[in-house]
Amino acid sequence: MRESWNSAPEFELQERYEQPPFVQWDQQRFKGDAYPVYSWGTNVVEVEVDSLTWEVTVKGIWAAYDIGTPMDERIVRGQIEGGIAQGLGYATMEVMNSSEGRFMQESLFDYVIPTAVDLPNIHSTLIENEYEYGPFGAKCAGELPFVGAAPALASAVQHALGVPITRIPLTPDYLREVTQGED
Amino acid sequence: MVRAYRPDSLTHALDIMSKNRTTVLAGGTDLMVKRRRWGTMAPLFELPVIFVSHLGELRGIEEDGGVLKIGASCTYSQLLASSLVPDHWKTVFSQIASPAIRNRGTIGGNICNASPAGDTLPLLFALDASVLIRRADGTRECPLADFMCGPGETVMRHDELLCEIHVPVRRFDVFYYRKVGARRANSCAKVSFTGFADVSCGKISDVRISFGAVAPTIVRSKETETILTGKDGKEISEMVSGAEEQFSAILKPIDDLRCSREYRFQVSLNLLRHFLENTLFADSE
Amino acid sequence: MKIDFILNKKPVHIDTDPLRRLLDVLREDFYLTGVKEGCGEGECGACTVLIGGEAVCSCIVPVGTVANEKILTIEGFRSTARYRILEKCFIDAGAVQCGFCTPGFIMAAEALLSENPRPDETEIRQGIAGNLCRCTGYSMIVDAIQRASVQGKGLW
Repeated sequence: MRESWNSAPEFELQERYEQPPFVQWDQQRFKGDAYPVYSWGTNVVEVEVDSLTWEVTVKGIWAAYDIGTPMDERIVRGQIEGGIAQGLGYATMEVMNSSEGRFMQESLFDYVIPTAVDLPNIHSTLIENEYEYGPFGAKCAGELPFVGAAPALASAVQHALGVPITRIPLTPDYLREVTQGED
Repeated sequence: MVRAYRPDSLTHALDIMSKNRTTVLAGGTDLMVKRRRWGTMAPLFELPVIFVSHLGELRGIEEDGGVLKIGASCTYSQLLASSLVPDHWKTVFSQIASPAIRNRGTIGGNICNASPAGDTLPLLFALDASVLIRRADGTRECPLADFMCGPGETVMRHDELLCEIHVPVRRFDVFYYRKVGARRANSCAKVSFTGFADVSCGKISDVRISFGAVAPTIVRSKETETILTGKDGKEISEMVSGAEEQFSAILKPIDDLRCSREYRFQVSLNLLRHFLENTLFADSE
Repeated sequence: MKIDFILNKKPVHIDTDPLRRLLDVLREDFYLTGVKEGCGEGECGACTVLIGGEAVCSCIVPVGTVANEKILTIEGFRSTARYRILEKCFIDAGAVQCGFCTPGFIMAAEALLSENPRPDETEIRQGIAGNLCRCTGYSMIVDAIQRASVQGKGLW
C-alpha cells in the first residue's frame, strides 16, 4: 500500500489472503486440510446423584487446555471458567423446548441457568505450547471451554448410575426415566 | 384514578379497603412479576393498589402462650433474623428465592398468593398454623388449612386484610425438609417434603407430614399421622408401604414445564419413605 | 403520588406513578444507569440496589414503597473505601468479563460483607445466589469477595 500511495481523496486496495505454505487447503475445490492447528482441552467432572430425587450435584471440575500462549491469561481463564459454567448448565438444567415454533421457556424464571451455589470452584490449567504462527504465540480459546464440560458431566453421571445417558440436559426427570428403563 | 394508597396505619388501611376495591401489595415480589409489562411501562393493576409493607402493626413477631404471632408483612429476612423463630423454620425460609427477594418478600404475601408451590405453606400446614384476618368492622381467625381453597384462591373477602399468622411453637426431635427445585438456589419447588416428629421411649409421640407442589393445595393427612403415632421403629418399618398407599391416593401432581407428574409422585414417595425409614429413629440406632 | 426518600445520601422528592419500578425511576429520572435490567423479574440481580443497607431487586420494587427509605446505588457507593477495595479485588481476581452483572454483584457483596465481614466460600456463594453471571462461572467473583473481606479488614 505504501508503494502505491498517492494523495487522491479515496484509495482502494485489494489483497488476497495467502495461506502459509504449510496449510494444504484448496479454497476453490474445498479439499485438503483447512486448519493449520487445533486447540485442545480435557475435562474431568465429578458428580453426585441423589438417590431420592435424581438431582445431580457437580462436586468438582478440572480442565486443562492447550491454546498456545495466552495473550492475557487472566481474561482467558475467565473465559474458560465461563465456558465451563455454561457447559455444566447446558448439561444439567438449561431446558429449552419449543412447541409450534415458540419457545416454551420465555424468561429467566423458566430458562434456568446456574447460580453461584450450583457450581463448584472451577480448576483449570493452561499447557505451555507456544504456537509460532499465532499472534504472540496464541491459538484460539473462545468456544473450546464450552465444548467439553457437558459430555464430561454426562459421562460422569453415566458412570454413577450405570445406565447410558444419551441426552442433555440430563434433568432429574430424565434420569428417573433412564434408571427405570422408560427411555 | 388513584393508582395506589399508602395508609398511615392499619386502621386507615382497613378503612380504605372498606370503601374501595383494592389490590393488596406487601413486598411485591410476586405481584410485580405477574403484572409486568414491556419496557419501562409500570405494571398493570386494574384496581388501585394498597401498600401494606410499611405498617408497623403488621411487622411484629411475638410469642404469646406458646404461639408465635407473626405480622403478615414480616419479610423472610426478618424471620431469619429473629431469635423467636425456631431454627427448623429458618431452614425452610432460607431456601426461599434469593437474599434480595427475602429482603422484600413477606410471609403474608406467600400465604395470600396461595400458590401450590408456596414455600412457607407446607411448614405452616404441618404446624397447624392459623391466620388472623381483619376488616374495618371485625376480626376473624381461621386455620390455615381452611384459608386456602385452591391455586391462587383464599377465603378472604375483598375488604379483608391478612394481619397475623399464628403458629404454635414447639421443639420437635426430628425434622426433615427437602425442597426439590430446578437448581440449588433461587428456584421454585417442583416437590417439597416437610416432616416433623417427636420420639419418646422409642415410640412416635407426634408426627406431621406435608407435601408441597403436588396438589392444588398442601397435602397433609391427619389420619395417616394418627396411625403412625404410638408406633416403634419396627412397627413403622412395616407400615411404610401402607403410608405410601394412603398418600398416593391424595397426591395429585401435574405435568408442567418444570417436570412430569410421575417425577413429582415418585420423589414424594421416596422422600416419605426416607423420612419414615431413615430419619425417625436415626438417633436411637 | 409524592414520594420522599434519601438517594445516595441526599434527600429527593418526586411526584410520579407509585407503581413505576424503582429501576426505571433511578435510570430515567435520576440518570443513574449503574442499575441494569437483566430480566425485569427479580431473577438475575443486575438491578440490585441497597434499601436500608439490604440488597433488593429494583426491577420489582414499586417506587411508592420506598418512601422515607435510604437507597444506595453503585454511583453512591463509589465514593467509599469499601467500594475501592471491592473494585480492586474484582479487577485483581479477574471477576469482570462483560461487566453487565458487575454493579449488581458489587452491591450484593457490600450487603453480604456488611452482615458477615468474614464469610467462608459457602456463605459467599449463598450471599450472591441471587446474582446471575453468564460469563465468569462465579469462581473469580467468589475469590474477589474473599479477597475483599481479607484486604478490607476493619472496613466491614
